[in-house]
Amino acid sequence: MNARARLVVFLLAAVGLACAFGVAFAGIPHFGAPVSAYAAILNHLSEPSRQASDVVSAVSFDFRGVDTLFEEYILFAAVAGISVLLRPLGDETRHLPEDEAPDRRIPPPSPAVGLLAVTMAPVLVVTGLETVTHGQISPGGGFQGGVVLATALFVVYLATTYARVERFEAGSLIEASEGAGAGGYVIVGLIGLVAGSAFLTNVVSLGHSGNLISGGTLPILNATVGLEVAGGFVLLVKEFLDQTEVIRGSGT
Amino acid sequence: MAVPLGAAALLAGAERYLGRIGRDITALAAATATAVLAAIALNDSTHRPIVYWFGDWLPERGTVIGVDYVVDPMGGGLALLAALLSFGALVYSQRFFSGTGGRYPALVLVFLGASIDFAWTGDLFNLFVAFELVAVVGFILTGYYASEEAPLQGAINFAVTNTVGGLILLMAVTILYGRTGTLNLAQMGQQLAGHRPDGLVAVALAMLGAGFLVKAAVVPWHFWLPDAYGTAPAPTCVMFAGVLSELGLFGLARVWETVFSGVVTGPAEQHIRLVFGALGILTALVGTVMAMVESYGRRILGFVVVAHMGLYLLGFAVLRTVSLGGVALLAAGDGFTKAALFLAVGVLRRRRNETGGRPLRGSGGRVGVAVGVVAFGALALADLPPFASSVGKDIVVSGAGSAAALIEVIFVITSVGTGGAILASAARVWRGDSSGENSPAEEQAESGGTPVAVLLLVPAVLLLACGLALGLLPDIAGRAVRAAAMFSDRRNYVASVIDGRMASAGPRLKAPGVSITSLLGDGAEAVGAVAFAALLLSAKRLQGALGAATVLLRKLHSGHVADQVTWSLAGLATLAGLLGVAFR
Amino acid sequence: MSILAYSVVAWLFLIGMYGVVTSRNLIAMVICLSVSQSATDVLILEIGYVHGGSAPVFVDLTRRPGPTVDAIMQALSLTDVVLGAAVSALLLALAIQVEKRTGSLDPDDLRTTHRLPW
Repeated sequence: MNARARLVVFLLAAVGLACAFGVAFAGIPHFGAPVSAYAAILNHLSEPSRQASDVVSAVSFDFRGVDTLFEEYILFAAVAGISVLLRPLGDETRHLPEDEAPDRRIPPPSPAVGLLAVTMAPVLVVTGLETVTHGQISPGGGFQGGVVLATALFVVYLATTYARVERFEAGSLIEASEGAGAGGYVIVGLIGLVAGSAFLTNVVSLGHSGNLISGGTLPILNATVGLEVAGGFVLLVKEFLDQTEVIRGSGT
Repeated sequence: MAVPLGAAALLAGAERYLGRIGRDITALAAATATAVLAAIALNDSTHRPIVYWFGDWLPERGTVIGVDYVVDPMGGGLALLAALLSFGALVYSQRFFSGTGGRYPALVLVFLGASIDFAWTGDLFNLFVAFELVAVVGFILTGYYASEEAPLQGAINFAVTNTVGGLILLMAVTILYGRTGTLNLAQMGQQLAGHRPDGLVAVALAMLGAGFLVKAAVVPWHFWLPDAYGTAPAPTCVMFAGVLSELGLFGLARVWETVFSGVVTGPAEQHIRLVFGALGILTALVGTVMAMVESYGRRILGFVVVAHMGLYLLGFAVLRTVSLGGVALLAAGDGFTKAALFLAVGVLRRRRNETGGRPLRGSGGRVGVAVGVVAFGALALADLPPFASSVGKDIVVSGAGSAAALIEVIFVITSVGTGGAILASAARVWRGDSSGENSPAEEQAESGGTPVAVLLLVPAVLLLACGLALGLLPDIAGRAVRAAAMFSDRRNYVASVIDGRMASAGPRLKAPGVSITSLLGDGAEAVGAVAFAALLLSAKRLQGALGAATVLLRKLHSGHVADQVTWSLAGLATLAGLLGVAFR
Repeated sequence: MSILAYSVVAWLFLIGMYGVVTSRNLIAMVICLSVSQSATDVLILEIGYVHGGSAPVFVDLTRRPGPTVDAIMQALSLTDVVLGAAVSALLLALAIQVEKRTGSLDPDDLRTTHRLPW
């Protein structure tokens, strides 16, 4: 099918779809209508029964904790998949990008960037940890905090060269933390089974709403997710950065 | 019940710290444990579905709070099938994927866990998440040979079309939540039942249908499948052919039975039969024709999968319990057979690459075994009794009522056509008649220069034997029909989920007896497939004519990802339009 | 207000799909796919929105505030965002490999399965 034919078919389909969307959206409640009974119940349940003041976290990690388990595994699969897809193949050799343009030296990062990185990296680490650990109280949690933690390393990368970051980063440690994060969620779920209840039951003591230690398994699950996300994102970006070093395969 | 999933997932996480041997053993042990537990769950759910609430969040005053699993024999059987096939895939692959550490087996296990979640979950959003996880792992495994262009293209087509399908699915989930205020399948059905179906229901059903049918590879959402199955590693194809495509249809059937069957009744239901039946027939015919004109071994199998998905959809479209049981049995039996076929064809191609395309005739008993697997598999797909496919087909037809004659004809055409195409292809390889087939270098990467190892053949033979054994199980037809009865009993499903007990004893259906005539008919189909294969091989002119007649159809299968997305959207728009008219 | 809010969803989805269908570059295609993806996020949040609603977070609040927006929908959109990120990352990885193998990012040049012999 050439581009023109494709466009014609697409436009026809798009008109049809627009009508279908119109029909469907006409059938749902008006924008801004009150929430469903389901949501209202959860809003009233999460603080008394779980001592968690952030309902979103309570939904993600307790009421609908299984969804989040699979979500975490999607990320796990993506990271594993990228390292499979971008693995150094037989006909590729690695060397540094400088080699390709020997007459042009890559300018070193400016001292200002270095200073910025030195200031920002610790702040990012602290913010990330804070976000991960306070998920059950205020907006935040493992996914958001994990990403913030991962950016700390990239700030360091901005300030130096990739070769230096690569030399000093502990690849296996990051992999281990990622695997532990993914496995940890399952283990926390199994605790519920061991305690004679259902998978992912919140059996740890709940604490008091608003305190750092509250919500039972919520902070633990948040921590495992934070570990998985931070490790996962670092690995992910590392795989992409590695691509700048791998030269084109000779086979093509 | 949640343990198989947990075990698989946990081992996937811990995999990389073990040595190679440890890794293989762990992966195989996880698959075995999952299979055993799935079998236990299947056995326990024979009389009433097992309902399991994660986090112990039981429904409160009739409102569902948490996420539940509902294990019925149908879902349990699918989980068992998935576990057995991944065991086969892991055995086959354990020697060839050492280059990437534990990641390949880990991904296979994640795929298994996601498939089980898909089969068991009672929550629409959880179903969507499982759909996406299956797709993500699926296209990673497709693109495994990242050094070749064809697998990359297969993976991209797979990824883009299935992501589009996922987006459509998610929008449908959201729209249904907007209407019903719940994500639980049982509660959703309860909320919708009794109302007149309106435009929203029609569009939501169309969007859910399109989303699931992308995965099930039903025309016109099927274009990605031959590209992906034709290029993925053989053990990956085992999982795909036996589980992935069936999951799409399973999802549609589950959503239909639990959510929509209470709201779409009367003449609208009749129209639904027509729409899905027509889609099924179209898919079966397109798949069969493309399988005949295709010459590249694994793409033939890809189109065979498409054709068979059409048959299953046709059987489902009857919307009768007996036929649904037949489809389940047919899908399970064919799942084993197609998995065995993919493995055997993989072995043959590897062998052929080593001998440089010389005839395989007389090159040893092991190759003979592989050829035998292909031949028997092709005959099993052509409904040779007593394979499970034969029994399943007879049940589908017997439950079809007034449409039985039409369905029988479509089944015969598809079975003879696809079986013949596979046999002819196997015969060409056997004779060394390479007819311009090139062998992608990927296959060589997979072969370590070793002769055909016994370990490669064992899974293929075992899987084929499973298909045979399934057909010989005592009262298998009755079991399948009873499973379908429970699966499609919406009232009891809702009652078990929300009230925690069965409302009434389910209907007792008697499985139709298998008559001698239908057995003879199935045998004749198998003979017909052999005759057709001989015809395909001998009559070059027929080949030419077929090729010429299908130029347009082949051009449509361009492998261009934008075309595939365009057709998917056009299919969705058409389906939405048709359903909108059907509900009027 | 309703019409405008939901039109945004339809528009975002269709314009993203238009991009996927017409794009001549795999990376652009991935970006267009994420445009369509954001349509689903917007829809999820719109369904959960309540007029005058506040965030479903009850910290530091002595009295119960007015209505809160739907926490379930917020949790779902969180899942959807993570999912979209994972898929985009994988597709970009595939695009890198395609570029390395064929030297081109144009999906028109990617026709190997078509070139397999008939």
